[in-house]
Order: sequence, then structure tokens, then C-alpha cells
Amino acid sequence: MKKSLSILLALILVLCACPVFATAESAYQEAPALAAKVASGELPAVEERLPSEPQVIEVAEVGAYGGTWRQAVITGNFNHAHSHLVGYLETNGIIYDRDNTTITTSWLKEFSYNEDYTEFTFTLREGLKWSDGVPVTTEDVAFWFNDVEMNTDLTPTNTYYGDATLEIIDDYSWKLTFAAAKPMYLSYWAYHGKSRFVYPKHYLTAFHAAYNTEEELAATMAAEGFDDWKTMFEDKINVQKNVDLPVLGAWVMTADPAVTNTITFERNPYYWAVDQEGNQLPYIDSAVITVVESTDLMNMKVISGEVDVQVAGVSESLSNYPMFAQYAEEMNYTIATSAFNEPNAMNFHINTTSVDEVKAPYLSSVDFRRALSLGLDRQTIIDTFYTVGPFKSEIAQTAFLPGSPYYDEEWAKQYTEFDAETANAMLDELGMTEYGENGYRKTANGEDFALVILCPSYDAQWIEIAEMVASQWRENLHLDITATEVDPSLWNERMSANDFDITNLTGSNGMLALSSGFVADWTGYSGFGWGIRFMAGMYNDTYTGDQTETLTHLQELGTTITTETDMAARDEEIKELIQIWKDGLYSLGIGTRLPAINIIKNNFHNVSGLDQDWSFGYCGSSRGDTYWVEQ
Amino acid sequence: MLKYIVKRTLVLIPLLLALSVVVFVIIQLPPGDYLTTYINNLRSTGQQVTEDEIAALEARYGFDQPMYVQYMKWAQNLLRGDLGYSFVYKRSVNSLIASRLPATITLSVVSVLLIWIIAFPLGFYSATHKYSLGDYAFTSVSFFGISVPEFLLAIIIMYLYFLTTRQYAGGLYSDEFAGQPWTWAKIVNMLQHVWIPLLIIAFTGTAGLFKTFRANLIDELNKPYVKTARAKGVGNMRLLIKYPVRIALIPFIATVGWLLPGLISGQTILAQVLSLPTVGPLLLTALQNQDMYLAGSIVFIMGVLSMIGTLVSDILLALTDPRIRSSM
Repeated sequence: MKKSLSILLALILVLCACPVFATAESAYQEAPALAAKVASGELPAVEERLPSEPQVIEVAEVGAYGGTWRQAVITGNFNHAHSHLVGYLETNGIIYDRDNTTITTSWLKEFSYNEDYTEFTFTLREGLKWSDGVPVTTEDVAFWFNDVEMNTDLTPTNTYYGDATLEIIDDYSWKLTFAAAKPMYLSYWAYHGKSRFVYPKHYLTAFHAAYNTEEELAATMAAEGFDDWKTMFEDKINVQKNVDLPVLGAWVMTADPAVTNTITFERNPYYWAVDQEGNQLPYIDSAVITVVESTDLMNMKVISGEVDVQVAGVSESLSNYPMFAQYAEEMNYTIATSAFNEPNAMNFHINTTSVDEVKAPYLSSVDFRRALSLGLDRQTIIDTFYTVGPFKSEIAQTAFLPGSPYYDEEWAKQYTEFDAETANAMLDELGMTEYGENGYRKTANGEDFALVILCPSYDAQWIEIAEMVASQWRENLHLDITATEVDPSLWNERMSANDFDITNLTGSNGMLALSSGFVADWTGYSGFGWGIRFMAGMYNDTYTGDQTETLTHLQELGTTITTETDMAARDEEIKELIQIWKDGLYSLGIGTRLPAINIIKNNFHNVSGLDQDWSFGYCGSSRGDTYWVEQ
Repeated sequence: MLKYIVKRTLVLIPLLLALSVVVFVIIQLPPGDYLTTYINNLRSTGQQVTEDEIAALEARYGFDQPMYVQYMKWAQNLLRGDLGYSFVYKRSVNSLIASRLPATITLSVVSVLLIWIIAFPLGFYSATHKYSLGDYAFTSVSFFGISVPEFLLAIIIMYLYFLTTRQYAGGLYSDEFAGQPWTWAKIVNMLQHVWIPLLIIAFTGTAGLFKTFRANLIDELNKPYVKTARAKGVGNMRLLIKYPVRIALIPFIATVGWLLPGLISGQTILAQVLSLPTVGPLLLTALQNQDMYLAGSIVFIMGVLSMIGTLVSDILLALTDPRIRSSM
């Protein structure tokens, strides 16, 4: 009897629990606007729109739905604002997590690779859908690989997938196999826009030569107003232009920027991420990016409180901090700061590979470079240029940043103290003991010795800093050094021609995380990072001096590090690279880079991680889909 | 007269050809091309482009071909009315210019009319009331208008507007109306914005016209034929309008042709400062980025409009001035 009673009780309990199971079935919540569309039958239910395993993001505050995110962007830099909004989440299956270090997935479910770094397997989230509701499958992957990456019309030379083969495993999984090991490819894929992997085949085949007869293609081109299919296709896959392109981002562009000067976005009902409570992201309904013509207008937008979360166009304007701060309280915004992943505020690269007969013996001498470094009163430069409001740069040499796994304090601090006496003694030691009529040192052979700092006119302040540095060298070291500003195009040509003594510019990649981008920056491997610029003689084969071996080794390290599959050995190679830089002192730094500033409206929440580095996407790994607006 | 017009029109054809060559060459004169600018911009933001990518881009955009091949391609398309492709905006130049044309022409026409409506009556008043209090007042204001650059005035007015209203004054309408169809609310909103550029144009643009017209008219007023007409008892207003004003207008008719290219490129600096969606800022961006087809096309269109405008001026002059007609 007791037993049957307990069974009965158990049954009642189970029955009571049933409604709980029923609600558990709709574990996801959605924005009210979408719920209304579901009710009227315009959209399928939220469970059907989400993948079977959506990405669950642990947010700091579970937000409320609604609101508009307003941004402004200076003409021509639309991609920056767009990247902040949707760019890197949309185009990258693999991204840096919010700590800027771990590599994680976005709309991909998982990825794995073999020990040799030659095979990479990826799996899509099952049930993932494009913004028009069409499922994303490996059909889209095959289209991306075979019809875009491997199409010689669209991709004439394929640097990244040239030695790759694609194997489709099933509807959701595929494998990329490379002939050569690609240990850095994970960080490379996490780099902005590189782990794209899918294109909406169902939409794009209409514009592709392989899927249409010549007549069909000609008819489409005539209708769309293009005269070759490649331009048409590139136009159609351009997410920053084509409002009809199905996307994976949190918001879908609804107005063409060039036509309206204002770019509008609506939420993507098929977005693939939820918060820890099962609320489908994004929280914010819509977004607006206004195109302004100049920095002045951007500043006016900021102080008028007409931007909500703004990084593009203000991040480098630390000099505007006092003005922004003046109106912050009244206009309800906060000025947040975030780090630039840059090795120094300003780098003075000395052309160690100069082939000028008079200058080369000195420029290539490490003692000469050390004397130049000691002859700088960095504190004065910092007080003049790198002190704004509460922010002050700290004296530092061009080196990996504190916070980098490869930070080397000795390197970051070497030869940064101001010691004109030692510096002059070192110059005397080099034989520069005679002075010309102008009061400046001559070479050991008695020739006139004059150097020029060639400053590219990217930024009005750069030349001012170069002039101050030159005047310090003239006064402190009695060296005839002047600074001159040239147009970037001309600067570029003179750099490539190895026709410069010293040049100054800001740099990228302070190695906060080891990403593939660092190779170009610190070894000159690809030839277009800033690193190569002061090894120009090596690059164009005009230099054959005694540093050839060291510098060749530095360049080789670039290749070794990117292909090294043994991580411990790779760490050793990076240390070797650091040693070359440290011993060579090829670049003189002034101080740490001042932080980037970001404008955040006080009613915007969950805004964090806006670090500035293209390695992590334009705005670090900040996730706009988790921002929410307090109404 | 007809023969004159036909002859002048025929001369335009070789002139157009020469213009297209000159435009194309000038656009290509600065060192580098769109790609080098693009790569420089990428590099200044810390992004990398490999040499393979650059070679691919060069082939893609045809920069690896000699300049005359690039020119022929452009010129052929031009004949078909296709202005080419903008590298910066990744759009056809036709659609870019078309999208900005309505606002551009509206702003130019309204500003020209505004300038005329203000300058001619004031100039007329000042000339006929020389050295009166009113004349002094208008003349001093116009000196101010000539000497203050419009972009500076624009920035000052925007900042003053912000200080008083705490609102952003750029653009032609608020963000929420962008891309929306023209409704009553949008028109009202536009009127709330458009007074700033119009005020600045009225202030800086009127001054030159006012001063020229005043000086011309004063010259004419002292001529013997005016005195003779007065002596013969011709009514004051009728006399002024029919003879001296007509002659004082000749310099303006001679320059009416300049209005046509001005319709496209007019108020470029102001539009730039105030973020107005007109063709002017488009041209500036194109030139800065060496976006050669966009820049070339806009400059070419302006050249064509200048030629047509000059032709129209000449015909108008012939019509208004019997002295010119008789010399033809």
C-alpha cells in the first residue's frame, strides 16, 4: 500500500513536472520585435532560428532588448566602424576570445588540428543559418574554397591556400590539408577577416561565371551595370556595400552607405549566440553609422552626445581628451581608455644597411646608435608631446610590451637614461673628435657628417617630434642632424630605394599575443611590415656589409618561427630574435604608447575589451552583440 | 548668329578630346597610384599587405598596364556614358555622382539665387545711395564677408550652435531621416539644418558680387548718357533699370558660364566642413586617395560644364550687348 502510494506520489510529481519540461523546450528568449514577427508567422520560432548548439556567451550583465547604437565614421574609414560593429564576428569562424589571447570559435562549433599542423578540421554549428534563414552547410564551404579561393580569376595568386586541399567530411565538417606545416595559422585565421570559410552559395551562384552560361552572365551584368563578372562578384560579396548579401553578423546592413551617407543596420534574427540565460543576442535592435567628412565633425559628434560607443576616429585623438572631458558629464558619456598593441609611442629607425660611403660606417655601428639613444632627453620629449590630461608616457625603448609573454625588461629599458657625457665619449671613441666650422662633429676621416630624419607626413605631430629629437642630438652630441617631412608616397619610394638615414613613425605589434602579423613587423619577412624599412639595403640587395649575416638570420627567423611546430623550440627562436634586436638597437623608442580613447555613453553596458589591434579585429575582441542599452 | 553658335559648338569636340587627355594625365601626375595610397593607409593602421597581394591587386585594377592603355579604356567607357569604377567606394562612378547630384544641385541653385537676391538689391541701393549710412553699413559687412574664410566661419557657427543648443549641426538632416523618403517631417528637419550653410553662403558669397555690382553701377551712373537721359526727363527708376543696370550686369553675364561647373563642385570646402552629402567632398576624397576614375570623371564633367557654360555666356552676351553683336 505504502509502495503504491509512493508510486502515485511519484506519478503526480512527474505530471506536475511536465509543464516544466514544456517550458524547458523553449529555453531561449528573443527580442520583442522578433517575437511579434513569430506570432504573425513572418519568422520561425527562436529555437528553429538558432543553431542546435548556439554559442553561449557569459556576459557581465544580462541585458534588456532594444535601443540603437549610434556611431560616426570619417569618410573612407567605414571599414573600421563596420569591423567594430559586426566585422570580425561575421567574417571569422575563429576569433580571439575576450582576453585577447585564447583562440576560440564564433559561428564554428569546433576546430582541431594534427600535431604536424598540416591538417585542420572544422565543424559548423548544426542548424546555423544565414540572415535570410537559409542553412549554412559545407556546400558554402566548398563554394568559398573552390569557387573563390581557388578561382584564378578572383584570386590570381593564392598566398594562403596555395598548398591546401579541401575535403568535405559531411554537411557540417571539413578538413583543410596543407603541404607545409602551418603552426601560425590559428592566429592567422583569428586575424580579422581571414577565417571566412563560407560564402552564401545560394545567393552568389547567380553572379559567378562557373554557374552560368555566358549569355546568362552577360544578362546579369547588363542588369546590374557591370562590364566584367569579377568586379560584379567582388561587389556582391562586399559585406560593406551589398545590402542583399546574406550575412552571419549580429546586425544586417539595410542602407547603402554611399547613397545615404548614413549606414543603417537591423538585428539579424538568425544570429547564432545567446547569453547565459538563453536570451538570443544581440541585445541592441539597430545600429546607425553616420559618415562625417573630417575629424572636427567627429569631435562635434562626440561632444554633442550623438555617438554611443565610438572607437574609430577618436581612438587616436588623445589630444582632444580635455575637450571631450569638458562635456562628458553634461552629455552623459564616459571616456574609457584601452591599450594600443604598439611597441612604442614613436620609433626612430636607423638605417643600419645604409650604403652611403660617409654615413654607413656610423649608421651601421651599434656604438653610434647607442650614443644616439643616450643623447636623448626622453623626459622632455614626453613632457612636451606625450602628456595629456591624466595620461603620461613612460620612458621606454622600442621593444615588446610589458604584458607580452616575451617581455624583456632589459631590452625595454636599455640605453634610455639621458647621459650626454657617456654618449659624447662614445662618439669620440668612434673617431669623431674633429669639429667643423659649423660646430658639428666630422667623421674620423675629417669629412662633413650630416644626417636627415626622414619623416612621412602621416600625422602632423610626427615631424614636430622628429625636430625636437634632431635638435637634442645637435645640442647634446654636436651632430649635424636635421628633420624633414615628406609625402608618404615619396617616403615610400625612398625607403624602398634604401635612400634614408633615419626615419620615424609609430609601429604595430608590441607582441601582446603571438600572432602571425608579428613576423612581418619584426623580421621584415613579408617585406611590407614596418620592420623591413630599416633593413632596406638587405631587402633590395644593395647592402653587403658585415651585418649581412645577422640580418639574414633575422629574416630567416621569420620563416622558422612561422613554420616551427615544436612550441618550445619556437620560444627559443623568438628569444633569439629578441637578442638580435637587443644587441642591434636598430630602433630607438621614446616612451610607451599613450592609451587609445573610447567614448561610451553612460547608458551603454557590457562595453569592454576595446583594445586597438588589427590582430584581434579593429576593436580588440570586444563583442558588440553583448552591449545593451538602458532605456 | 546661328552660324556663330554652330561654329563654337564644333570647336568643342577637339577641345573635349584634349580635355580628357589633360585630365587623365594630371590625375596620374602625383607619385604612386591608388594602390600605393591604399597600401600606405593600411600600413599606417598597422595592417599588412604582402607583395603577392599587391601584384594581384595591380593586375586586377589594370595598374600594371601602360598609361595610354588605361586612358583608352577610360575614354572608351566615357563615350558610352560609363564613368568607370571608384576604387575607394567600390561602386560605379555613375551611381556615386547620381546619388549626390540632387542635394548638390539644390544647394548650388539655392545658394546662387540667395546670393543674387541679396547682392543685387543691396548693390543697387549702395550705388544709388553712395556714402549714405546704409552704404557704409553694407560695405563694412561685405568687407567682413570677404575676409573671413567660409570654413572658419562654419566651424565657429557650428561650435556656437553646440554651445547654445548642445546639438550637432552637421549634415543636411538628422541621422534618423537618412535614407528615408521625403516626408513633411524630413523637410522641416532639413530646414532646421540647412540655414547654417545658407547663412554662411549669404555672408561670404554675397560680398564679392555686391562690391563688383556697386562699383560697376557707380561708374555707369556718372556717364554722360545718364545725365542726358535725366535732362530729357526720363523717370529715375526706368532710366536706372533700362540702361546703367543693364551695362553693370555685363560682367556677371560673362561669368554666368562659371555657374555651371559650380553646380557640381560649388561649396566644396563648406560641404566638407559641414558634412553635406554633395559631390564636392566626393571629389576631395577621390583626389586624396588617387581614386583616378572618380576624380577624373568629376574633373572631366566640370570641364565639360565650363565649356558649355562659356558658350552659353558668349551667346547671352551677344544677346544682351548690341556692341558685341555688331562685331560678330
